[in-house]
Amino acid sequence: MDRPTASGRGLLGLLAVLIVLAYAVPYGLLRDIPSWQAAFLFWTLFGVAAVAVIIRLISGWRP
Amino acid sequence: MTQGVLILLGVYALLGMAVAFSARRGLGEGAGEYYLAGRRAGGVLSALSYGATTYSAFMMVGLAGLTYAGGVGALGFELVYLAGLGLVAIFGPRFWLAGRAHGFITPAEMLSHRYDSPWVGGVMAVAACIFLIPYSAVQLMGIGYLLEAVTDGAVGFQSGILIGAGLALIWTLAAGLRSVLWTDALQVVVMLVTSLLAVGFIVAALGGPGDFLDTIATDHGEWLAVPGPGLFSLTTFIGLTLPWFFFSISNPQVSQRLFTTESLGAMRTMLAGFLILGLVYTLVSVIWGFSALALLPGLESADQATPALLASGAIPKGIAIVLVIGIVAAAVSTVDSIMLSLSALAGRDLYRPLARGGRHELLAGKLVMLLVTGLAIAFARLQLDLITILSVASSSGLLVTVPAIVGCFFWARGTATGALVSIIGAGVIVTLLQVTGSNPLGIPASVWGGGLAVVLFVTASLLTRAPTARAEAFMQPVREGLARHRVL
Repeated sequence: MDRPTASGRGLLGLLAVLIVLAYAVPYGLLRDIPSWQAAFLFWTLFGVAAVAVIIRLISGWRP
Repeated sequence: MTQGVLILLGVYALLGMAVAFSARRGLGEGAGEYYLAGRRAGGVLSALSYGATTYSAFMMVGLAGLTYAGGVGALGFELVYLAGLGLVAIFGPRFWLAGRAHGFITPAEMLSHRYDSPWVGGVMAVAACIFLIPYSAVQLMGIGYLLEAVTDGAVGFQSGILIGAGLALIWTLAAGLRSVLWTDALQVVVMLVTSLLAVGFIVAALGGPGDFLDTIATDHGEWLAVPGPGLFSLTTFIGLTLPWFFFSISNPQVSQRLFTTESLGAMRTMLAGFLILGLVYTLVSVIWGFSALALLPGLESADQATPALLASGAIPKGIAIVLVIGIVAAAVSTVDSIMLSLSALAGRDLYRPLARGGRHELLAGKLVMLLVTGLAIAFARLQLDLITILSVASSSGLLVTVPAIVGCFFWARGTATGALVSIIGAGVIVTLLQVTGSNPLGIPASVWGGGLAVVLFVTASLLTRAPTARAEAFMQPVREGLARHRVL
């Protein structure tokens, strides 16, 4: 019923990719690696990146 | 320890009372004032309250226990939930604009209006009660168990339940959302500061950050791997994360907050503030769980990780006491918001359509709040397995409302029949699957429920006549507002 702007759509797409990676990387590439530098580090970076993307997404609002 | 807990509990209760009753000043008349704080909530206060409402005793007890049992998957699970807050960036302004334009008090009322049927909101209100009363009961049970354990029975299980329920009820009744917002702000500070202190001390007790990391990597390396010691298979991970990803729009105690901020700028502050708070609290809770694993491996039940760690003497008694209060605050601040939201849903979406003119709606809502509290206490005291199952099923159960909520804004072809069939049909199926513990074809109940809700909503909507004029009237002010505020 309404359409997102192009930059907003790009950020939403990026967030969607990050979310898919949050499943695919730890259960694929990093599977069975018993180290802090594997899934723990990846998911922490994912969390920081997701938060940053969402904050960027809402920073364009004009209250 | 017992005396310390009792004294601090008393201080916490008195402070909360003072804050709750001072929030009564400036409280106006009517449901909008009581349930939405007059739609004038500031951004920082909303962020703190959103955090206190979302994060219950689950974090420092349940998530820590999940880490203890299943390892790093617990971190991924909670951070996928946090990424789901991207939904607030999409739906938050839409809820806010629709709420202002049409005067909605509850998300269920919004659905009733959009789909042109009071049945939709009524069913949503009933679904919220079915899942969120047991969820509240489990929070109260958590308070009961924790206080009983740390006071050596001086505060019994039953007394703990009554203390938790009493505080939540008084702080909600005092001034509705105004008192909930202010007490939540106090409580989230208590939650965060106490958990940071506790984790700092426990990591120091393990020899500092370096030794802590080494101990886990050397002695419990499997817990750092995915899928880890066995709990977090990919299927389980998907089954757990799917309903939690949609939590911010499916659970009325948080989605109702999207009507309350004074401006979209305040909503932006709320969301950004909560995201940062959530990231910190998640990491703290997971590190707490890993610390329990390092210090006390081999516990029979992972749920015992936090109580055992508190009793272990590894952290100073004073810190253990303040953490207990922090966990109680986390539970109470979740329960009071749920009570307020269920009260609004019952008054607005069940009582009002039935009572001519909707008179005494607020009184009906407050009576329901008493009833909800009574039921939560009764369920908590009974300690029925079914209550725990329904509580666990709450996120999956409320997931079935998501297609109707999404359709509200993004699919003009969606109909009341589609919404009703999807919420009732998928809700019954997912509850049955959860209660019987079955995962047909190895697919988790939540995935079945979510998928079925989408199929039922789309199919039943296509087979029935859409209220297109109503959908257009509903969306017009939203569309104009989105363009005006440059929201995607």
